[in-house]
Amino acid sequence: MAIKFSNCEIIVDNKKILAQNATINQSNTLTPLKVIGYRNVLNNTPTDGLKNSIKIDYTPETHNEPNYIISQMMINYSYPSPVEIKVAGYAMTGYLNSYSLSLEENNPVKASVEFSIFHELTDSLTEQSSTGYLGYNNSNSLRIAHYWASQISNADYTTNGDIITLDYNFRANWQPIYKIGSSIPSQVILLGSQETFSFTSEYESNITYSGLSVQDSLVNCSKLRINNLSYDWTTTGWFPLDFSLTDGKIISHTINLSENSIVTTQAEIVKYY
Amino acid sequence: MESLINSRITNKDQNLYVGGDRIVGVQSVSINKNFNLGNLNYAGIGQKTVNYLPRGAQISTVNIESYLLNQDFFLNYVTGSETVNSFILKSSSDLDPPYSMLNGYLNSYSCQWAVGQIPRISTSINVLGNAGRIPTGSLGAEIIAELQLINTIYDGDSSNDDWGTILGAVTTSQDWSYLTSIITSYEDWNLGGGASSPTTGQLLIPYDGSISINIDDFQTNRVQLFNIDIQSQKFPIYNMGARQPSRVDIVYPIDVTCQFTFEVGNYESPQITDSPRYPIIEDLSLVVNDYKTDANIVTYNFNNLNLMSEDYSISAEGNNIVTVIYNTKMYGN
Repeated sequence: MAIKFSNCEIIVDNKKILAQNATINQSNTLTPLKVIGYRNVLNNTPTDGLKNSIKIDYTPETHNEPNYIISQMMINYSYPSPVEIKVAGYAMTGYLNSYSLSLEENNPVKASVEFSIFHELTDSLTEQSSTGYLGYNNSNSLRIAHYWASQISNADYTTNGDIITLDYNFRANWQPIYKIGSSIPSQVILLGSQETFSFTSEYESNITYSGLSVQDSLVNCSKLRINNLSYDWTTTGWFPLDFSLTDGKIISHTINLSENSIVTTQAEIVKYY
Repeated sequence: MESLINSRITNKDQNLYVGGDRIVGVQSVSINKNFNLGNLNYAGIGQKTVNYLPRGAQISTVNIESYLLNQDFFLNYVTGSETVNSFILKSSSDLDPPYSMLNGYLNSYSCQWAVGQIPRISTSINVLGNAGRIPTGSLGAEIIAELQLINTIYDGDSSNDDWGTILGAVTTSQDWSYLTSIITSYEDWNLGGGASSPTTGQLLIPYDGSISINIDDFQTNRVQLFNIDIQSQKFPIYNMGARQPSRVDIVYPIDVTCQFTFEVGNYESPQITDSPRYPIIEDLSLVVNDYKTDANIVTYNFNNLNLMSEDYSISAEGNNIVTVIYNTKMYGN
């Protein structure tokens, strides 16, 4: 009997997320062993540990966004334990190595997260039980993060108001430490991370020197705040996701001229941790 | 559509105002509101209630069909980037609550005419702001001021209530002599051409003899029908944090297509292999005047119209008919 998408709940750090796609990839790194005097490949030898990963595309809710919390912990040098992830019967622990958000005109925010998994996967696909919803409440779309409710502003929330689209990306650099006698790392160390903000606007802002900061170049651009849809009609319950652009450096600025369109620019701002 | 449920748009209680002008000769208005909702589907939804959320711009589309009377109310909005507020009012003195269509842009326009008919305008307004019966208390000061201006200009003449009845009769009969007899007796009525109308208080009606087309081929060939179609590309600029665009930009060129159908006199059909070496390029001046006073209603001037296609037809039932389609592109600042 086929496994149905509608019966495959996805849970990250004990929070069910609204996933539209999930991909579990298992890889086994092999190198062909060639020797002199033998025409064919003698054998294949493992040259790295087992590497598995899971990528999830989902619609974030601001009050229930585990990956934002995990990435912010890493930015603040609070190294989290590997995160428990459950997908359609598969249970695994993984390390968040990328987390991205995309804000496009008039649309809900799109999120994507990828975890590296350094252990074997031994489970099999099973559908959720009819009672296995973890008390999840999705009776209203008002908690969905949305373009209409998001803004770039300075610290006192004076909005920039000129950003057309925005892509946020967080990447972590994990290093697994292996011991002799084991294909599973005994330790996984966070070496560093970076945030990248890329936004489309009509700003003209030339890069005049290396290390140009976002504050020196763009007006009212020190904070990204993503609220949920209720921002449009209530004064509470937005559960904002805040991102700081302070001290971010502009690493690229692109001017786009295209037939049948207005001229837009794209600025890319990076912060390293 | 709540204000339209019980009556037609041509009814006396439904008057269309666009950009402060009362549109004279409206035949139909249809308003479509697209809430642009999409369902929220996710892995593990099970049998939970499906939720919907906005997944695109919320736009209302207002399609308008109107006779070309008094003046052309729409052309400047199609070729410019200005946005416009529109209202459907019971009368200019009854403004509350108006059926409002705020912050709209026009990007499509056509004017059609055939022998024996009054030219008809078809256009559509893409409304980016709020649309519906909005209490005046919820309208901004600028909107209120616009409504007050409408009231100042148009208030006080209920005689125009019968205007829709007159045009309805003509549409049915297609009888110009019938229309002439009616207009003669009603021509002193104030039919609300608006402040910018060339002759406020007087109705300007075009007819066959008051329409002139200045293009070489049609001096001796009898035009039976024309259709001028204008399409402009408009881009609403949305900024993060707002559900309505900050402005609307026009991106050139504006596409102009002119179609003429005529009975052949001395028309010489072009050879297809002559294109593109010997292109057929024409300048068009099309003047639409009042049938009686010759006062100008609208003039279309298009240069560098390129012949794009020709349809040459012969039938046992009629004369030799040719339909030609020209196209040009307009650029602006």
